[in-house]
Amino acid sequence: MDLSQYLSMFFEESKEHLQALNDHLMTLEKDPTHLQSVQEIFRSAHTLKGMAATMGFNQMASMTHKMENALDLIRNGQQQVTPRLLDALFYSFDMLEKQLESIAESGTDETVDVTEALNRLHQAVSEEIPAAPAAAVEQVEETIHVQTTLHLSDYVLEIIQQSTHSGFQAWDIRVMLDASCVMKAVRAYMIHAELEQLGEILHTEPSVSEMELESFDSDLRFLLISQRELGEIQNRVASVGEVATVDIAPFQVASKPMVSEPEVRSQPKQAVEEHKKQTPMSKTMRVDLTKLDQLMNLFSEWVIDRSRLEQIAKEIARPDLTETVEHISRLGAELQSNVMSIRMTPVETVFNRFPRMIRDLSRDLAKKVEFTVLGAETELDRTVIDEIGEPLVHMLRNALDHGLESPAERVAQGKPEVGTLELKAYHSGNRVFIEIREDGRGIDKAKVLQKALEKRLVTEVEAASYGDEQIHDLIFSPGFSTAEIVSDISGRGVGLDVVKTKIESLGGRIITRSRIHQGTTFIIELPLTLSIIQAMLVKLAGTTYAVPLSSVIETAMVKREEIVDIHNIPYVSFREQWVPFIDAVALFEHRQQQEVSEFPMVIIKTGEHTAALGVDVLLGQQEIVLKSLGSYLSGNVPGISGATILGDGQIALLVDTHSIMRTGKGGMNHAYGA
Amino acid sequence: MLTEHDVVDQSSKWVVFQISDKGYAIPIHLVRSIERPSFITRIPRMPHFVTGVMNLRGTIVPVVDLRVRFQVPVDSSNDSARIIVVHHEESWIGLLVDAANDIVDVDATSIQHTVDISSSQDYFVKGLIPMGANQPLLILDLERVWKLGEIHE
Repeated sequence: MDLSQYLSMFFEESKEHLQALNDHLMTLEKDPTHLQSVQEIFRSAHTLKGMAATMGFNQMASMTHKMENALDLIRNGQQQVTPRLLDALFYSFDMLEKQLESIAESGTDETVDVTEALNRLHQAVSEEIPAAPAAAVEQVEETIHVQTTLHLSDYVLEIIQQSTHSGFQAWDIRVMLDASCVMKAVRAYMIHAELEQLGEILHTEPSVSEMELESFDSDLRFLLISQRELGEIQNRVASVGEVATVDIAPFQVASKPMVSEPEVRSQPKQAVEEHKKQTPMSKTMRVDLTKLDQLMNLFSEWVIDRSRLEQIAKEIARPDLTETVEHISRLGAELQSNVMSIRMTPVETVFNRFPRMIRDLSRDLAKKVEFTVLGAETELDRTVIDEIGEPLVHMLRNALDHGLESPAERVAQGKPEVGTLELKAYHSGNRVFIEIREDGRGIDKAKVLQKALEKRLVTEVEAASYGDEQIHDLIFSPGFSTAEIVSDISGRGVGLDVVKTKIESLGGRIITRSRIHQGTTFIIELPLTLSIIQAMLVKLAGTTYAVPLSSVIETAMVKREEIVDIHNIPYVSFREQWVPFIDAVALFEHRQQQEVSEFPMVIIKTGEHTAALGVDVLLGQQEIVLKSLGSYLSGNVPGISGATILGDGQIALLVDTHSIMRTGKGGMNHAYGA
Repeated sequence: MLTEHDVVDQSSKWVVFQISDKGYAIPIHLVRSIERPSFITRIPRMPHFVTGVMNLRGTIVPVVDLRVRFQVPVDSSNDSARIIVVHHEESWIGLLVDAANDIVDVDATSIQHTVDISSSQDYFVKGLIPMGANQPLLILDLERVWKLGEIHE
């Protein structure tokens, strides 16, 4: 059987289960008596086993099987949750992740050696358990090995056998849809959803993907494991419209010698029930990401045409045309927010690996920390989500390593021994905020200033004038390593300046709040999305360029004689402040310099740097769709970060305000000089 | 990843194009489409052979002018000039040539690899396809052709 088409689904679901497994292991570690977590871990391990076996990944199946056995002993009260067992489970989890990676890379799980994990599990369990049950465990493993090489049905049979012995009933449900039923796939889906609320669906005919494709007549067959009564199941299925007949019969397995202990487990059942109640079904479907990207691309095309249409309507100035175009624009705005919302992903997908990371890191650093994650459901555009993982890892490590004190140090200061570290995400307006807050030692401003002076990042005079915010910002300067101030544990070569650059390249910024001995909070502010942005369009020698509106403070007119050279760098006075003047026309090689005596300038600001960008013509602001310059040019064009297609089909390059600002600060003439 | 050599070994259909008075060939599977030159937006601060970017039905495609690259005269009134759009990683590059007008079948065994060539234009040539009595078609080393930062004029 060719299973390659299910591989992506397998990955997707395995990842979800691994995540669940990890989360609940963390909970269990905190509270070893939390049986609900044991149950959840068991469920995930169980599902993983099933999926791995179906896909023919036997190593993974036997691995999860071992985990399942150990967990089974716990929930039956035969085994205590010991640190050793937890470590074994965490280790097994790591191995499962490796197996999954290996499957993704080479299509097999054979490359990962799981002996160590199996041994650890075995030892952790057998440390307290008499030999007899362990032998039973081995026996189960044998049968599993045989069965995974056979068909799915054998495997399903085993589950049925096990669950009937735990008081569940397997039902064979045959549903005949009404002959007049138009949307059979939808009905099949609804029935599937109904049944899923009643128990566990082990098998369907046709398969779920065939149902989705509507490649079946009107007969559906489900194998359900449930504790519900026949009547209730019957009613629930019948409640879905356009069902002709529902035929339900208990499903019997031809008796086989049982290998697991035939003991009725009352506790787990309750837990399962509870779980079912807790997770209400939300009607969702999985969509291929490339399809979403396509949708987004199509929409981008549409936005371009809309601008064009608006332009034409303006020229023609016919009331009914204008009205229609206005209506299209309004619909477009709605469409846009809908398309955007589809692409939104909860930050959870990035956050959920942090608890484990913090756990491991705090062990390595011998620090005690209570880590809380808030607002993981906050949504961000996928383009942003993909980019923020690394900066956040960096900042969390930094907080743990340099922010929080050692337990002894904390006690000496009269603080609770266990430090707190909080990661919080929330929306405000059109922006998303991610806060990293700890109650550690705080930023020692005197030390920072001293260090900045040593490194010649600031002059004495500048230092004296700096307020809190500016001092805090110094730790993000290139070449400023916080490690030397407080500790030097992690030995990383990169500083927070990398984080800052990354966040700024995403159109965001970092705000720092800190009080000595009380802790530090970093607030990362990010735009909701990257692909459609507001821009100021300008003309340089006949060519249109776009400047991201997020960096534009305002526009003004300037006379040539108002530009003054200070140490060979042109400056211009703006609102009683001297800011560097960047002649965009010269910068982008169109001409030597501005030819007219008075011309407009755009005042741009990124982070705390402000500059004036001299242009030929201001065209006004417009919503633009960001496009890549392609693999050949992306990242290779100085001062340009992308492009957009305008209403008339012409391409406008997007000015990278961050990079021109960096080169603009002192090194302007070096990098770009005419 | 497919290397240039794999390409030479497998390909049998080649797109033929002209730059100045010479004929060149490129394996057809590298070619996405052949376009008439449209408006090209100049990209600042790039080598001269990177002419700019064009809007190819909503996708932004960089254009490399092979005539500038090979330092032969550019006749801008030339009506037969074409842009051969070829694959580059996940996106495309357009190659601006004087003409692109033929597709030929080539027996892979007839291809000759070139060695020890000194003139600047031949630096980009890595093989020949003999064409009987006619001039052979030249096979380009595309990685060298579009490499940025090596031979900046």
